[in-house]
Amino acid sequence: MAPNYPQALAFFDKVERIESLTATLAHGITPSQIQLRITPQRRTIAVNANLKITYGNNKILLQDCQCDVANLQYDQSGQVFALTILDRRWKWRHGQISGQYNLRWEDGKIIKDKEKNKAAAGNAVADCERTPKQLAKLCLEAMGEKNYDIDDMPNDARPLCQWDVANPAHALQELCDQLGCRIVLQLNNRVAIRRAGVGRQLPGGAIETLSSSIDPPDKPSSIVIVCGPTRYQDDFELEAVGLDTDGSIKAIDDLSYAPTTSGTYGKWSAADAKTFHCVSDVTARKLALKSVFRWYRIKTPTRVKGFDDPIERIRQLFPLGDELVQQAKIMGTEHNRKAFVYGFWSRKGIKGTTSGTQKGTLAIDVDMSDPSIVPLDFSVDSRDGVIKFDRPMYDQPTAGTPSAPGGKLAPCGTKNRPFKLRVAVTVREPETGAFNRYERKRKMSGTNTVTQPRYVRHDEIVLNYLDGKENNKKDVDKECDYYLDALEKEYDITQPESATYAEIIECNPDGAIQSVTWTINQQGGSTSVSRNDDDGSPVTLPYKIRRANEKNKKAAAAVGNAFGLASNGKDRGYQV
Amino acid sequence: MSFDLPLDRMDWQAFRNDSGEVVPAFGIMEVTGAIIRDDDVVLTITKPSTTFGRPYAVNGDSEVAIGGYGNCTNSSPCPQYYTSGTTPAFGNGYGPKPGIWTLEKGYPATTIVDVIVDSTNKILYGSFQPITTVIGKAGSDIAALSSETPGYGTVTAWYNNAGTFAETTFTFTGYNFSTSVITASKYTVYNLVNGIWVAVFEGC
Repeated sequence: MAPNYPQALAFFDKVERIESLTATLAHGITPSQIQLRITPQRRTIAVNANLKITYGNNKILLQDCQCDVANLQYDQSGQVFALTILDRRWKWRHGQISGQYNLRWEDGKIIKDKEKNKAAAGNAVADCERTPKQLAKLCLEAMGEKNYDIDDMPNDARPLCQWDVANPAHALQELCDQLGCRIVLQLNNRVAIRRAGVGRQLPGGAIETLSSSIDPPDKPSSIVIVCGPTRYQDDFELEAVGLDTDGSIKAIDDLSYAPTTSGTYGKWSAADAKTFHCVSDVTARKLALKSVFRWYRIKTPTRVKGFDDPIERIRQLFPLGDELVQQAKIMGTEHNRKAFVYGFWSRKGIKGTTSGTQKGTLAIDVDMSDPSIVPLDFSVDSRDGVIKFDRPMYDQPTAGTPSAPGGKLAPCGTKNRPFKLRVAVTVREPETGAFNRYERKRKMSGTNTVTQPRYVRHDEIVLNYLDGKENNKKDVDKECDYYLDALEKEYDITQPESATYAEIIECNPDGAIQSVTWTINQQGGSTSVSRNDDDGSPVTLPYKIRRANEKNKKAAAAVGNAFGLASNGKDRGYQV
Repeated sequence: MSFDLPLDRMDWQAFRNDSGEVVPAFGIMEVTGAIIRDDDVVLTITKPSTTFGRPYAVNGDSEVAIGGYGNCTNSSPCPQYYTSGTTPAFGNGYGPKPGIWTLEKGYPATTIVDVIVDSTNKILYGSFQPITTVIGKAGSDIAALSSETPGYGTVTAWYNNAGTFAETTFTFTGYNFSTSVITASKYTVYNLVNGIWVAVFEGC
C-alpha cells in the first residue's frame, strides 16, 4: 500500500488553480522569487497578497508578496500563465537613511561628545559613535522593519558609515558584509542578522537526495588590514617661499623678481615689506605683496620622527594638514589641536629682552601661551603645502644702523633662528607616491600554499606617532582584529550540503542554512535545502551573483541620480 | 614680555629714501615731496632739516638703505624712535630736531607720549600729529599789514627746554596780519593757517 502523503497546496490571493510552484527563500536583501504556473483566471489577481503553502500540518506563509511579471505560455495542457511574485523584501527598494557615524579625527579617533546634551550647536558630527547593533537598528527601522533580531551581531567594531539619502537595505547589507553577517528573512516574518556559517544542521525528514561536498575556500596565506595613512606629529623647519611670475612656488631668493643685491640675510633684507617698491616690475610687485614673507613651506630634505627614511621632496608630505595628533577638550568635546608655528620672528622691530624669550625648540606638552608661539592665524594650502600668513612674517636678527631698534629683514628661519611648524603629517613613498600605512597582518592557519596576502583597506583606522613613538597602536590593533576575525571566518572550511526532501517542510534559513526552495508540481511537494552554500535555485541566482548585482545596481543608481534619470521602480537584475 | 606692536592697524605708505643716509627703524623723517610710481604714490623723504613746516612721517620697523624704498606712517598713535638720554612720560611733547632721526623732548611736537614700549631700543608709543602751532622769534622786525598785504620775515622756532626757551635752529617764514609791527626780540606764537605761519600772539 502506497504511503498516504498529504497533498501539497499553494494559495495566492484568489488564484483559482495553481498548477505548479517554485518558491525560494534565501539570504540577503534581494527579494526571493516565487514562480507560479496558473491557468487563465476569471478574476483579477491582487497585486499584493500572502502566499501560503500547506502540506498536512506544515504551513509556509510568505507575507506581503508582490506580483511582478505574468507571461502567457502554451504547453501540453494548453494556455497557462507564468506568474512571478516576490517575497516582501521588494519593499526594501524604497526608503532612505542619512547620517554620519563613527567619523574620526584625522588621527583615527572617533569623534565623541561625552556631554551629549551640550553638543555644540551646529556640530553635526558630535557624538557620532555607534555600535554595529545600533547602526543595524537604524537601518532596519528605516526599512520599516519591526520585531527584528540582531542579537547575534558582533558588536565591537566601529564601522564608518556615511549615509546620505542612502537605501537603508543597501546600507545594512554593507554593514553586514563588513562584519561577516547575513540578512535573513525568516519564516516567522522576522528579519534576523545572523553570523555567516553559524546555524542549524540540515533538518531530518524524508530525504530523497543528499549531496555533501567539501569546498575549501581559496584561502590566502594571510590577511592584512591596511589602515589609513599613518600620521606623524613633528616639528618642521620652515623656509620662506614666494609665487613667481610663471606660477611656480620658489624660495624667495630664487624668485625671478628678487632684488639683485644680496645681503647677510639674502636678497630681501632691504625690502619694504608692506609695499615692495624694491621690486621694479609692477606685476611682480603684486606677487611679492601676496607671497614674500607671507608664505612659508616645510624645508626639505627633512626627517619625520618615527619614519625611517629622510623626506627628500615636499610632495611626500602632501596633502599637508592643519592639525596635531594631540587633542584638547573644547566645550566637552575632544578636538584635535590645531597646528601652530613657533620660533623666532620680528616682534616688529623690538629686539633684546623681548625676542630673547623666543625659543627654537618646544616641549611636546607646551603651554600655548609660550611667547615662542606665533599668535597669528595662518592657513594651510594643502595642495601646495604652503603655510600662508595674512601679514608679512620676517626676522630681524641684528640691530639696525645707527644702533636703531629694527635692523635688516631676514626671512624667518635663517641664521640659526628656527621657525617651525608643529603639525601631523602623512608620508608618501618617494618613488611611488603611495602613502605610508600601518598594516595588521594575520597569518592564516591550515594552508601550506604560499599566496600573496589578501589586503583589506580600512582608512578610518589610523596609527599615530607622537614624538617618534606609536601613540595609539594598542587601539589600532584591537580594531583591526575585529575585522580580521570577521574576514578569517570567511575562510572557515565549510561543508556545503544540500538535501531534497519528498515533502514540504518548515525550514527556516539561518546563518548556515542559506537557501530553502519549495516545489509543488504534479509529482507532489518537495523541499530543497542548501547549507553553507547557495548555488541558486530555478528561480533565484546564487548569493554571490545576487550580491554583485546589488552592488552594480547601487552604482547604477548613483549614476542615475547624478544624471537625473528616473526609475520606473522595476528591478529585474535578480531574475534568472 | 611678548608685546607685538600693533603695526597692522596702521596705514602705511611707500617712501623713497633721498636722505643720503640709512633711515633707522621708527625714525622721524621730513617729507620733501611725492612721486607716482606705477599705481602707487611714493613719498620722498630726508632727515629733518632746519626748514620748518614740512610734513613729517615715521619710518616702519626696519631700516631703509640709501636710495631704497621703505614704508612710513603718520597714523596716530604709532611707535617712534626717541633720543637717548631722555625719559618720555605720559603727556610729554616730543618732536623732530634738525639733523637727527630721533624725536627730541620739548621740540615742536609731532608726538604726545603715551608710554615707552622699549627703553632699551628707545621706542615710545604716542599719538602723531602735524605741527600747527609754534613759538618763534623773528630775525628782524616784521612789518604790519599794509592794505591787503601782510608783512613777513624769517622766523626761528624756539622750544621749551625744561622751562627755559631755547632755539631749535628751525626757520620758517612768518606772516604778520596785524596792524602792529612784530618786534624781532619778542617771542611770538605762530599758527599754521592755509599753509602759512601766521603770528597770532606776541609776547609782552
